[in-house]
Amino acid sequence: MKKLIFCAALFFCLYWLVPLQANAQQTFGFSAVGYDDVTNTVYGSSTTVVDYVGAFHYTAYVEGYLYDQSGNLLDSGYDENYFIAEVLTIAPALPVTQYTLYSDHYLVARYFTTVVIRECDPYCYYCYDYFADPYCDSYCYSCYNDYWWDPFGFSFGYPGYYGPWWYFYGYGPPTNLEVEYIYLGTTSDSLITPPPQPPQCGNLTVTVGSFYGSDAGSNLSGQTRHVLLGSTVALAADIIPETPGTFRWSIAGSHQDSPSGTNNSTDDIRWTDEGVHRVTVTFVKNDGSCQASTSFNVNAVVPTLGSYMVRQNVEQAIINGNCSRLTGDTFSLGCFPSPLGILFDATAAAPTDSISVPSDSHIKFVQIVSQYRRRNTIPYGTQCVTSRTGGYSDTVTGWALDGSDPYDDRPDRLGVANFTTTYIATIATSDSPANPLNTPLQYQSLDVNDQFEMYVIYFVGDPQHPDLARVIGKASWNWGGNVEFVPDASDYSVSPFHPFSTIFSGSPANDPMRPYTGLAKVLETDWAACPEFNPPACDPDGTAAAACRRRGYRYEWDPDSCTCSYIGML
Amino acid sequence: MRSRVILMIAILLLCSTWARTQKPVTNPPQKVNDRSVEQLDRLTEVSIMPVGYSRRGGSYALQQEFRTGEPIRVALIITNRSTEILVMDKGDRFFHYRPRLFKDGREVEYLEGVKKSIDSKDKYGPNGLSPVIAVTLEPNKQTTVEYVDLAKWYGPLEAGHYELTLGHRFHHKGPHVQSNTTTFDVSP
Repeated sequence: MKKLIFCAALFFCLYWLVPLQANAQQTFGFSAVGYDDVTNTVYGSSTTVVDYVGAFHYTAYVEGYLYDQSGNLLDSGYDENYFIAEVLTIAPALPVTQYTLYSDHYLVARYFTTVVIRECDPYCYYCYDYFADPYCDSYCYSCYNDYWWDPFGFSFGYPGYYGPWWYFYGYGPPTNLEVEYIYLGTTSDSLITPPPQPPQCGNLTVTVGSFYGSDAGSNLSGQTRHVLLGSTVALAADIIPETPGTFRWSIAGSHQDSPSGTNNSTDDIRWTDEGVHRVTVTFVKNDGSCQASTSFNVNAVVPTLGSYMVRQNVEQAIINGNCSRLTGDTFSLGCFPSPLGILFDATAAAPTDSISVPSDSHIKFVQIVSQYRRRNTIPYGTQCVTSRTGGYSDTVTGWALDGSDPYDDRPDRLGVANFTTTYIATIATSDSPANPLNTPLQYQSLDVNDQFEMYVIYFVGDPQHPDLARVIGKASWNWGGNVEFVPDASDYSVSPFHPFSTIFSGSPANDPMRPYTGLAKVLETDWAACPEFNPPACDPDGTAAAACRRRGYRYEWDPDSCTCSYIGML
Repeated sequence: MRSRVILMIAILLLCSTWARTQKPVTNPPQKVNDRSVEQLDRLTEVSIMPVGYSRRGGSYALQQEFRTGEPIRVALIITNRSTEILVMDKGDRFFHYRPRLFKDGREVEYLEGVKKSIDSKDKYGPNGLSPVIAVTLEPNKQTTVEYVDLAKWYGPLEAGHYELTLGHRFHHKGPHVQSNTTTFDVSP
């Protein structure tokens, strides 16, 4: 009965949540049949719901018919009301029997127009208008008829048989009807009652425990334990005293499970939605004479970020630095292999009373980047590597996956880590971005504004193709600056983003990752025109600008006036 | 007067202490060549094995039988044969790796986009646009460096018997250190 009420409430909410369709009124009809194992009764609920606007012109009407599998009508009823018409039908239930409820849904027109008919009927020997009709005699009398108003044209619908629920639309046009009751259609629902349950075994006790967790092996009956969302929970049931029979697992919540072991005594369960779910284990004796059961609750949760520390080094331009395994002069964050550019250390934790298989849950890093690098070289002028549409300052567009997912797939608590038996996982990785300054050709200037987001992801299954993944932490960082070549000194002047090394923390997060497209650009051939670079009409191919740059750093090109001016010693 | 002097000294001390904790913008302009690059070529051994994800162990494990469409990964394992800690980098797969895959004796071609990428990397070397992830190689130990996804190089593999080797290049103009040959089968 509770299930029935729940279904009714659910459908009612569903009805009011669905937006009204434009240019058509709608009426909702549904049927629900339920079984109450306490009273051993089958209940049927038939409902017609008229929406607020429609209720001005129509009342709701429903008829409910409850049949058994032999076609015997067990109960029926009808109801008419302004907004909701509902009829309950009820019948005693037999085990393993199909029961079907049919609900006929109607609208009842509320308004009518009276039409006085002044035509004579010469065949039926009486007329409708005594005064106007020459055939009329003393038996004739004036007569009239009522025409029912169907402003939304429900009578033009297509009545039929539907499943448990259906929306009936009034497509129009407005019309007058001779009938007051407008048939919309029929919905139906059915169920098969369960086989009879054996009585409880008074002398048997069922226990259930987990293979993992701080109290592995102990009886969890009546208790609540945390589990990690998506990860395997390995459970075992036992019967005391030992008795031949079979275990049956009843698991609430969205899940996957695979019972196994002797008489299904073990079960591996993975919940895929968060929240509290009930596990019930029922033991049925081999002779079917009686049964015993127990239950406990699990609370499925996503682990949380424990700590997330980021240590970032300074940007530097180094003559013949070979930083990050590049060749020659380099502009880099840190100078790989020592010091590294930026280091990430993250920890995730789940409740200590968890009972999931620890090694089934992992964390990993995934990094996305919005690149922007702009260089100026003598032969090619100004070029960029970026996917941004708005140029240097546009940090909203151009996001792409940096490397691969996972960012670093090394096992053993490096790039990817399993949770430990105390439900803690720790990962660490690094990045040392850099840019060459004189390979494959000498840069006159370089501007870097690379924006990054390094996510900590909880996941279950294959790191590259996880069954389930959730963001639990995020650190935003960037590196860059401006480097200008000083030819006379064969050196570089540098304006770095980070003149000092810094330490900061990533933050807990549960929003999905920022949307990104494809992979970051990584090839030398990806240097191309900058998005914000609009060559002036006076120098469309950039020849004059390039000639100005070749004169050295004491000359400055003004793209507005297309002039090359001497700016002297800086 | 005396208190003002003490205050000034205190401020100077504080400033100097703060300055010491900060690293300067400019490092020494010249850097000594990193000898560990050549050591990586000489003192490491590269090996590979086909793997699949094992839910039971919570990690990748040796697997030599695959179904078509199933992800085929190759564990790249590097052994440091020296007595010193070595540091290598990873993250630029089209620079570092050169797999060679043979199906029933015939070499399988790279995807078109891969050819373009490796041509660029062969010509220009690394350019700092890919992640540079530091990997520490402990002395006389094997380190699993990466799980290379063959689909990114060859696309989905057809059914057949495969042989694979992988060359690993640690630095620009360095040799491709060759791995062992490993085999696996893909069945429909």
